[in-house]
Amino acid sequence: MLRYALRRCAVGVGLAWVVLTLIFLSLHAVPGDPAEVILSGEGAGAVTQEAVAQVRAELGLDRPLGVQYLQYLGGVLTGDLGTSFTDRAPVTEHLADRLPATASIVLVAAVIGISAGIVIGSWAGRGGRVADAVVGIGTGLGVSVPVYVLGSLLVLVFALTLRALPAGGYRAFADDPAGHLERLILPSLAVAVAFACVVARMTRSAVVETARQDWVRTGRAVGMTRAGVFRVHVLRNALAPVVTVSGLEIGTLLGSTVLVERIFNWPGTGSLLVDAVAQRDYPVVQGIVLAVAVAFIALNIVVDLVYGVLDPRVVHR
Amino acid sequence: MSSAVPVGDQTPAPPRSRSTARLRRALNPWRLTALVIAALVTVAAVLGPLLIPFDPLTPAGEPFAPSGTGGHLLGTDSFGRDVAARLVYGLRTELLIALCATALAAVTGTVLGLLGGWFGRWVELVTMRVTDVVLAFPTIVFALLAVAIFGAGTTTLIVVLGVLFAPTYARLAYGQVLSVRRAEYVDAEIAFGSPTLRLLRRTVLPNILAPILVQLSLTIAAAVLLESGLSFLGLGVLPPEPSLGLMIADGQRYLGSEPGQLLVPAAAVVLTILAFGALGDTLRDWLDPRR
Repeated sequence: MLRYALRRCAVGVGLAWVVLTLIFLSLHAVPGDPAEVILSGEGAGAVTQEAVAQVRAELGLDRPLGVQYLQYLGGVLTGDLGTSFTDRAPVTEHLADRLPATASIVLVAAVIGISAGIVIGSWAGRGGRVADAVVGIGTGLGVSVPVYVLGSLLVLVFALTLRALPAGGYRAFADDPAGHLERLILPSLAVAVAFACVVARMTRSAVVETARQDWVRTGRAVGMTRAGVFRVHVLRNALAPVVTVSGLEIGTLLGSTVLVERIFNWPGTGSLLVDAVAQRDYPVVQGIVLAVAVAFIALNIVVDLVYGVLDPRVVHR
Repeated sequence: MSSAVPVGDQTPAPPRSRSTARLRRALNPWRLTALVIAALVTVAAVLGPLLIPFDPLTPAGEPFAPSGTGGHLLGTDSFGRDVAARLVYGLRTELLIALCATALAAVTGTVLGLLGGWFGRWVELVTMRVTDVVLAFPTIVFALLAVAIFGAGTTTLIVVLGVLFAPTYARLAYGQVLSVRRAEYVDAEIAFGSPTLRLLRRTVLPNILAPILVQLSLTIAAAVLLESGLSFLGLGVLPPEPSLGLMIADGQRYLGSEPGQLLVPAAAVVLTILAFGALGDTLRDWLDPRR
């Protein structure tokens, strides 16, 4: 198990390195000089040759590509992701600034999504044909509604019509806990619905599959109650794959926050990424994409290992 | 090996009646409705521009005219442009991008998976690792990275979506090839000495095609979902081109006073995704006997 974990981590590090290299190369293959982009963005009038050369030297863009690459690699290893083109602040500072806002949406949405999904899925799996059909149609609808449409609908209903919750904005939890939570409800809900539907579908099929097993019939035969058998023999066995696949789906959830943060005016990494892409602020784009990719790779490894713990029958080669 | 061994088609197609019975089981009223919607959406995208007498780009009336006034079926938007015209042209762009991206993804993915599964060794290593790298990104983040590099626009969208969805097909084809390559009819072809490319094209490919065809419709739904999201962010189809994502972003701005501006394009996107998703599910239950 330990050997497997170590090998899995080594492959993860290798994959992260490949991703870093690809992002670096692709962003440096971009047509157009970032220095000119910056200067024209600052609106300082005509872009002179000297000004361009100066900015290039300042950003280290005049050095050979190989040198830039090694510098970036060295920087990443020592926790330096470069400086933003737009405000010359360190990218790590931008990330540290925005990460908590995204983390609170992801955390709340993951908790709601997994718990609601498991409850709804189990109900569909053992609740008879009507429950199954209702959940089947409901989850089909849930995964087909884009997250930004759902977010807008939530704003329309709960903020503009019922006036029960704010339509958007952000308060730091430390300054105003109630205001933070109040503004967190709608965006988290928007992200959680599709996630819950995916989890519910997986739970349903896992429960149906497990309920067919011999040991379930044996459990009933030795006099356990239906609920007892379900809790001890069905749900426990069905949940191993559900929990692990849900873990992987958190990647999709990360993606949804990009759209939801935009709708609710939520200052997280997603809206930072969208702004950086629109302004061609390459160091920031590079930093966020790398951070997301590393988080995603790490998540994959954790999920694989957790699967082994939850289901001892899995043998790691 | 005697010449009596049937070549190429050892698993005869199931008799028509069984296939029809499976189709009947795969179709429930819910799915039938969805298929009708898919057909309507496609017809609207193809014929709509011929039926609606307005241009999607030029203002043709007062802003926010209610539906029905001045011949505007669904009213006008904030610039006074005909909403119905923008809707059908947007749908057309949307479906065109989704179809092209799906074709690109299916072809490249299938070829990669086919080669990786057949040749093994380093070919397998390279093709399957490439898919791993693509899958190591949440889709929208990958798409945003590509937009940062190539700029927004229709071509970028098609290529990006194609690259993003190709790994699904590579995985599918790869898995299928592994199970087919040991089959007796493949051994027979090898024994007859048919050239490898011909063997892959004429014998292996047709036998792994069913799950790949099933996936097509699901990819179209996923492409519409992602494309409209990027356009919503202003990083997909560029204004003033009509696009459902852009219409929704516009509608969100006037959500308080003119909710219809959001609800109409939103309904179109949701129905399109639902319909093509249901089409895929139906095809899967019909064509994929293992399910």
